[in-house]
Amino acid sequence: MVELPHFLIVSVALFVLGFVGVILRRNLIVVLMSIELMLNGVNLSFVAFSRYLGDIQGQVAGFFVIVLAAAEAAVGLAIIILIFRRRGSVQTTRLTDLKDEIHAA
Amino acid sequence: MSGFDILFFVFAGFALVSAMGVVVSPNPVYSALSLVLTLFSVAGLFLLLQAEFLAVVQVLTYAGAILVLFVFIIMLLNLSDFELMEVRMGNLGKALLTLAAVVAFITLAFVVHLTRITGDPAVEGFGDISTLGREIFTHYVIPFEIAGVLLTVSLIGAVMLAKKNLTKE
Repeated sequence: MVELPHFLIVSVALFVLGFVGVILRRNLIVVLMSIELMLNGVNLSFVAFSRYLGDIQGQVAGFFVIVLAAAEAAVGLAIIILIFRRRGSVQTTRLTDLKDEIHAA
Repeated sequence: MSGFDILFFVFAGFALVSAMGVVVSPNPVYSALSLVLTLFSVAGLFLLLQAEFLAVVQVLTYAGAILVLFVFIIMLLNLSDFELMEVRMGNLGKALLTLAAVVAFITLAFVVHLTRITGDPAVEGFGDISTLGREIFTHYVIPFEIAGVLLTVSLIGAVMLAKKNLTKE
Protein backbone atom coordinates (compact mmCIF):
# COMPACT_ATOMS: atom_id res chain seq x y z
CA MET A 1 0.00 0.00 0.00
CA VAL A 2 1.52 3.27 -1.14
CA GLU A 3 1.31 5.98 1.48
CA LEU A 4 2.91 9.33 2.24
CA PRO A 5 6.44 7.98 3.01
CA HIS A 6 6.73 6.43 -0.45
CA PHE A 7 6.15 9.79 -2.11
CA LEU A 8 8.54 11.47 0.32
CA ILE A 9 11.28 8.92 -0.45
CA VAL A 10 10.93 9.66 -4.17
CA SER A 11 11.03 13.39 -3.39
CA VAL A 12 14.18 13.00 -1.26
CA ALA A 13 15.83 10.87 -3.96
CA LEU A 14 15.09 13.52 -6.62
CA PHE A 15 16.52 16.23 -4.37
CA VAL A 16 19.71 14.28 -3.62
CA LEU A 17 20.20 13.42 -7.30
CA GLY A 18 19.81 17.09 -8.20
CA PHE A 19 22.30 18.04 -5.51
CA VAL A 20 24.83 15.51 -6.82
CA GLY A 21 24.35 17.03 -10.28
CA VAL A 22 24.98 20.55 -9.00
CA ILE A 23 28.19 19.46 -7.28
CA LEU A 24 29.49 16.97 -9.85
CA ARG A 25 28.78 18.57 -13.21
CA ARG A 26 30.96 21.28 -14.71
CA ASN A 27 28.57 22.41 -17.44
CA LEU A 28 26.52 25.41 -16.30
CA ILE A 29 23.46 24.32 -18.32
CA VAL A 30 23.41 20.91 -16.66
CA VAL A 31 23.92 22.56 -13.26
CA LEU A 32 20.81 24.65 -13.93
CA MET A 33 18.88 21.51 -14.95
CA SER A 34 19.96 19.83 -11.71
CA ILE A 35 18.60 22.81 -9.78
CA GLU A 36 15.27 22.26 -11.57
CA LEU A 37 15.47 18.64 -10.42
CA MET A 38 15.93 19.74 -6.79
CA LEU A 39 13.00 22.17 -7.07
CA ASN A 40 10.85 19.34 -8.42
CA GLY A 41 11.79 17.06 -5.54
CA VAL A 42 10.76 19.71 -3.03
CA ASN A 43 7.56 20.36 -4.97
CA LEU A 44 6.65 16.68 -4.84
CA SER A 45 6.94 16.67 -1.05
CA PHE A 46 4.77 19.82 -0.84
CA VAL A 47 2.05 18.16 -2.89
CA ALA A 48 2.35 14.83 -1.04
CA PHE A 49 1.98 16.51 2.36
CA SER A 50 -0.92 18.55 0.99
CA ARG A 51 -2.70 15.37 -0.08
CA TYR A 52 -2.15 13.38 3.10
CA LEU A 53 -2.88 16.27 5.48
CA GLY A 54 -6.00 17.19 3.51
CA ASP A 55 -4.77 20.79 3.30
CA ILE A 56 -4.83 22.58 -0.07
CA GLN A 57 -2.16 25.11 1.02
CA GLY A 58 0.62 22.68 0.10
CA GLN A 59 -0.55 22.78 -3.50
CA VAL A 60 -0.55 26.58 -3.40
CA ALA A 61 3.10 26.44 -2.28
CA GLY A 62 3.85 24.03 -5.13
CA PHE A 63 2.19 26.43 -7.56
CA PHE A 64 4.43 29.28 -6.41
CA VAL A 65 7.51 27.05 -6.64
CA ILE A 66 6.68 26.36 -10.31
CA VAL A 67 6.33 30.12 -10.95
CA LEU A 68 9.68 30.68 -9.25
CA ALA A 69 11.33 27.92 -11.30
CA ALA A 70 10.14 29.53 -14.54
CA ALA A 71 11.55 32.93 -13.54
CA GLU A 72 14.80 31.36 -12.35
CA ALA A 73 15.29 29.38 -15.58
CA ALA A 74 14.73 32.47 -17.75
CA VAL A 75 17.21 34.67 -15.88
CA GLY A 76 19.70 31.84 -15.38
CA LEU A 77 19.79 30.99 -19.08
CA ALA A 78 20.20 34.68 -19.96
CA ILE A 79 23.20 34.82 -17.62
CA ILE A 80 24.62 31.66 -19.25
CA ILE A 81 24.33 33.33 -22.66
CA LEU A 82 26.23 36.34 -21.32
CA ILE A 83 28.96 34.14 -19.84
CA PHE A 84 29.29 32.23 -23.10
CA ARG A 85 29.50 35.46 -25.10
CA ARG A 86 32.31 36.82 -22.94
CA ARG A 87 34.29 33.62 -22.33
CA GLY A 88 33.32 31.28 -25.16
CA SER A 89 32.75 28.61 -22.54
CA VAL A 90 30.14 27.46 -20.04
CA GLN A 91 32.46 25.36 -17.89
CA THR A 92 32.38 26.29 -14.21
CA THR A 93 36.13 25.53 -14.01
CA ARG A 94 36.81 28.59 -16.19
CA LEU A 95 34.95 30.98 -13.90
CA THR A 96 37.65 31.68 -11.34
CA ASP A 97 37.81 35.51 -11.39
CA LEU A 98 37.27 35.84 -7.66
CA LYS A 99 39.98 33.33 -6.88
CA ASP A 100 43.03 34.66 -5.02
CA GLU A 101 45.82 35.28 -7.56
CA ILE A 102 48.56 34.16 -5.20
CA HIS A 103 47.01 30.79 -4.46
CA ALA A 104 45.57 30.22 -7.92
CA ALA A 105 46.85 27.00 -9.42
CA MET B 1 -1.42 -4.45 -5.10
CA SER B 2 -3.90 -1.93 -6.43
CA GLY B 3 -3.71 0.02 -9.65
CA PHE B 4 -2.72 3.08 -7.65
CA ASP B 5 0.37 1.27 -6.29
CA ILE B 6 1.39 -0.02 -9.72
CA LEU B 7 1.06 3.46 -11.24
CA PHE B 8 3.07 4.91 -8.36
CA PHE B 9 5.94 2.49 -8.87
CA VAL B 10 5.93 3.03 -12.65
CA PHE B 11 6.02 6.83 -12.32
CA ALA B 12 8.52 6.80 -9.45
CA GLY B 13 10.81 4.39 -11.30
CA PHE B 14 10.73 6.49 -14.47
CA ALA B 15 11.34 9.68 -12.47
CA LEU B 16 14.35 8.31 -10.63
CA VAL B 17 15.97 6.55 -13.61
CA SER B 18 15.61 9.60 -15.85
CA ALA B 19 16.80 11.91 -13.05
CA MET B 20 19.91 9.74 -12.92
CA GLY B 21 20.17 10.22 -16.69
CA VAL B 22 20.10 14.02 -16.26
CA VAL B 23 23.05 13.87 -13.88
CA VAL B 24 25.27 11.28 -15.58
CA SER B 25 24.79 11.77 -19.33
CA PRO B 26 27.82 13.59 -20.82
CA ASN B 27 25.81 15.41 -23.51
CA PRO B 28 23.54 18.27 -22.28
CA VAL B 29 20.97 17.46 -25.00
CA TYR B 30 20.47 13.99 -23.50
CA SER B 31 20.30 15.60 -20.06
CA ALA B 32 17.51 17.88 -21.27
CA LEU B 33 15.56 14.99 -22.81
CA SER B 34 15.94 12.96 -19.59
CA LEU B 35 14.70 15.98 -17.67
CA VAL B 36 11.54 16.03 -19.83
CA LEU B 37 10.88 12.40 -18.85
CA THR B 38 11.49 13.20 -15.17
CA LEU B 39 9.10 16.15 -15.26
CA PHE B 40 6.38 14.09 -16.97
CA SER B 41 6.79 11.36 -14.36
CA VAL B 42 6.51 13.88 -11.54
CA ALA B 43 3.38 15.25 -13.24
CA GLY B 44 2.03 11.68 -13.12
CA LEU B 45 2.80 11.50 -9.40
CA PHE B 46 0.95 14.83 -8.99
CA LEU B 47 -2.06 13.23 -10.68
CA LEU B 48 -1.89 10.32 -8.24
CA LEU B 49 -1.84 12.88 -5.41
CA GLN B 50 -5.05 14.51 -6.71
CA ALA B 51 -3.22 17.65 -7.81
CA GLU B 52 -4.70 17.77 -11.31
CA PHE B 53 -4.14 21.47 -11.86
CA LEU B 54 -0.53 21.31 -10.73
CA ALA B 55 0.09 18.31 -12.99
CA VAL B 56 -1.20 20.26 -15.99
CA VAL B 57 0.82 23.34 -15.02
CA GLN B 58 3.90 21.15 -14.57
CA VAL B 59 3.59 19.79 -18.10
CA LEU B 60 2.76 23.18 -19.59
CA THR B 61 5.47 25.32 -17.98
CA TYR B 62 8.25 22.81 -17.40
CA ALA B 63 8.01 20.50 -20.39
CA GLY B 64 6.43 23.13 -22.60
CA ALA B 65 8.32 26.32 -21.78
CA ILE B 66 11.40 25.75 -19.62
CA LEU B 67 12.67 22.67 -21.44
CA VAL B 68 12.21 24.28 -24.85
CA LEU B 69 14.24 27.18 -23.49
CA PHE B 70 16.98 24.79 -22.32
CA VAL B 71 17.18 22.93 -25.63
CA PHE B 72 17.10 26.23 -27.50
CA ILE B 73 20.03 27.56 -25.46
CA ILE B 74 22.02 24.34 -25.93
CA MET B 75 21.52 24.60 -29.70
CA LEU B 76 22.23 28.35 -29.72
CA LEU B 77 25.53 28.07 -27.86
CA ASN B 78 26.69 25.34 -30.25
CA LEU B 79 29.15 23.87 -27.78
CA SER B 80 32.24 22.35 -29.30
CA ASP B 81 33.33 18.78 -28.63
CA PHE B 82 35.87 20.14 -26.21
CA GLU B 83 33.13 21.92 -24.29
CA LEU B 84 31.06 18.74 -24.13
CA MET B 85 33.99 16.90 -22.58
CA GLU B 86 33.55 17.32 -18.88
CA VAL B 87 36.44 17.83 -16.54
CA ARG B 88 36.32 14.52 -14.70
CA MET B 89 36.74 14.24 -10.99
CA GLY B 90 39.22 11.81 -9.53
CA ASN B 91 37.95 8.45 -8.35
CA LEU B 92 38.42 9.47 -4.72
CA GLY B 93 36.30 12.59 -5.18
CA LYS B 94 33.55 10.59 -6.89
CA ALA B 95 33.60 7.97 -4.15
CA LEU B 96 33.41 10.62 -1.43
CA LEU B 97 30.58 12.42 -3.19
CA THR B 98 28.62 9.21 -3.68
CA LEU B 99 29.14 8.37 -0.03
CA ALA B 100 27.95 11.84 1.02
CA ALA B 101 24.88 11.55 -1.21
CA VAL B 102 24.02 8.11 0.20
CA VAL B 103 24.44 9.40 3.77
CA ALA B 104 22.25 12.41 2.98
CA PHE B 105 19.62 10.14 1.42
CA ILE B 106 19.60 7.78 4.42
CA THR B 107 19.37 10.69 6.85
CA LEU B 108 16.47 12.28 4.99
CA ALA B 109 14.77 8.90 4.53
CA PHE B 110 15.04 8.36 8.28
CA VAL B 111 13.39 11.73 8.87
CA VAL B 112 10.66 10.65 6.44
CA HIS B 113 10.30 7.41 8.38
CA LEU B 114 9.61 9.44 11.52
CA THR B 115 6.59 11.17 9.99
CA ARG B 116 3.47 9.78 11.55
CA ILE B 117 0.85 10.89 9.08
CA THR B 118 -1.42 8.13 7.88
CA GLY B 119 -4.94 7.83 6.66
CA ASP B 120 -6.66 9.36 3.68
CA PRO B 121 -8.34 12.66 4.56
CA ALA B 122 -8.73 13.91 1.00
CA VAL B 123 -12.23 14.57 -0.24
CA GLU B 124 -13.77 14.54 -3.70
CA GLY B 125 -12.54 17.35 -5.93
CA PHE B 126 -9.62 18.05 -3.60
CA GLY B 127 -7.00 19.43 -5.98
CA ASP B 128 -9.16 20.66 -8.83
CA ILE B 129 -8.85 24.14 -10.20
CA SER B 130 -11.83 25.68 -8.37
CA THR B 131 -10.59 24.60 -4.93
CA LEU B 132 -7.06 25.76 -5.64
CA GLY B 133 -8.22 28.99 -7.26
CA ARG B 134 -10.48 29.83 -4.31
CA GLU B 135 -7.58 29.29 -1.90
CA ILE B 136 -5.17 31.38 -3.98
CA PHE B 137 -7.58 34.26 -4.50
CA THR B 138 -8.75 34.43 -0.89
CA HIS B 139 -5.70 33.73 1.28
CA TYR B 140 -2.83 34.20 -1.14
CA VAL B 141 -3.80 37.24 -3.21
CA ILE B 142 -0.73 39.31 -2.34
CA PRO B 143 1.78 36.47 -2.95
CA PHE B 144 -0.02 35.82 -6.22
CA GLU B 145 0.40 39.45 -7.30
CA ILE B 146 4.04 39.38 -6.19
CA ALA B 147 4.53 36.25 -8.33
CA GLY B 148 3.15 38.20 -11.28
CA VAL B 149 5.59 41.05 -10.62
CA LEU B 150 8.41 38.51 -10.27
CA LEU B 151 7.60 37.00 -13.66
CA THR B 152 7.50 40.45 -15.28
CA VAL B 153 10.80 41.45 -13.69
CA SER B 154 12.50 38.21 -14.74
CA LEU B 155 11.14 38.60 -18.27
CA ILE B 156 12.49 42.14 -18.58
CA GLY B 157 15.73 41.11 -16.88
CA ALA B 158 16.29 38.16 -19.18
CA VAL B 159 15.69 40.29 -22.29
CA MET B 160 17.99 43.05 -21.04
CA LEU B 161 20.73 40.58 -20.11
CA ALA B 162 20.69 38.66 -23.37
CA LYS B 163 20.30 41.70 -25.63
CA LYS B 164 23.16 41.92 -28.09
CA ASN B 165 24.83 45.36 -28.01
CA LEU B 166 23.95 46.38 -24.51
CA THR B 167 27.49 47.42 -23.67
CA LYS B 168 29.99 49.02 -26.02
CA GLU B 169 33.11 46.90 -25.80
